Amino acid sequence: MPSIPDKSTRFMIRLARWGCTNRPFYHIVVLPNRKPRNMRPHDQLGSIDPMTNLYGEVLVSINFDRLKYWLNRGAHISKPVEHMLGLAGFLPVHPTSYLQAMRNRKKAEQQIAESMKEEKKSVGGQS
Amino acid sequence: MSFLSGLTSKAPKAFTGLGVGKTGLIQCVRWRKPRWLPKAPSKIFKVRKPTPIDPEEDAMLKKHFHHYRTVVRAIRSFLLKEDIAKMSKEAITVEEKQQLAQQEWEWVIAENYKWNKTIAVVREARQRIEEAQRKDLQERIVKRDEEERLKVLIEAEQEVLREKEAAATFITPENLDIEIEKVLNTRTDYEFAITENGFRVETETELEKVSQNSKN
Repeated sequence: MPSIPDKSTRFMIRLARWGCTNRPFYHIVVLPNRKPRNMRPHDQLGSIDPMTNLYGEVLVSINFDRLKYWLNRGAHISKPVEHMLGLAGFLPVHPTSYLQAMRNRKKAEQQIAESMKEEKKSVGGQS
Repeated sequence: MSFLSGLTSKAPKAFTGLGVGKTGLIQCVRWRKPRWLPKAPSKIFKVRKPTPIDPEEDAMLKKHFHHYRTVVRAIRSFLLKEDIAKMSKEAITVEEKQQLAQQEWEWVIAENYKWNKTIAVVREARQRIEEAQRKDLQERIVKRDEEERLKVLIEAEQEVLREKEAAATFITPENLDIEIEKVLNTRTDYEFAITENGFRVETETELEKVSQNSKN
């Protein structure tokens, strides 16, 4: 039996990529979930510049009043925005952030272990 | 692969030949085959391997997601409650609303009156200037018309005078016969040549010839 596609519509708080090639820039917009990404939005809540600036900062601007307004209207939040809001402290830190951190931690530990091994080897060879 | 969406979304056009899209460089995977084609014979019994899941990560994610969803739900309900409380706090009775509207209306009227007063000063000054200009223009027009009328009158009088002077030489029934006689008695000879520029040529030889001919 073919599955019935979900055609439900709801407001989404999500990112719209503007900027250009090799220079991403995002608007945080409110749109129904099935509308085109770069459509004229119902509301723009802010913007994200994912490329770090001179001081190594990623600049994000959010209008929290409007964000609350749309949340109260039952808008859904997309995963990247949830992630970002978790880092911003508005929502709890997203589980995928923890996952990423765990993976990074493991990788770093592995690298350290490998470097230790190599050091031992090199020390052993010299002596 | 969102950057390919523009190239791969043209379903009928991309299906020009199996395997290669119109662009040549990018293979359109999604619309390579029409939907009604059966599975390839070599893939009939193919079963997709499930994505490997790290049990440690899975357990961690499950734990965190459980907590995360609970907290987010709580936050959302809190925000909603806060919003409702705020709205109910700001709510006012019908009489208060009417009173506020009345107050606003009065304020608007007063403000309008003030504006009208300030604007009236400017308007009256402007209208005075305009009126003066209008009067001046009217006067000038009247003066010009009068001058033109006088001019026409003088010209007409002069015309009459000229005609009166000319009336002495008019032909009337009384002197008609005399005038006819006069015309008959005055004969003009038009037998002469003219140059290209219209000057009369009265050479002696020609005159002689004319006279000889008349004698003969």
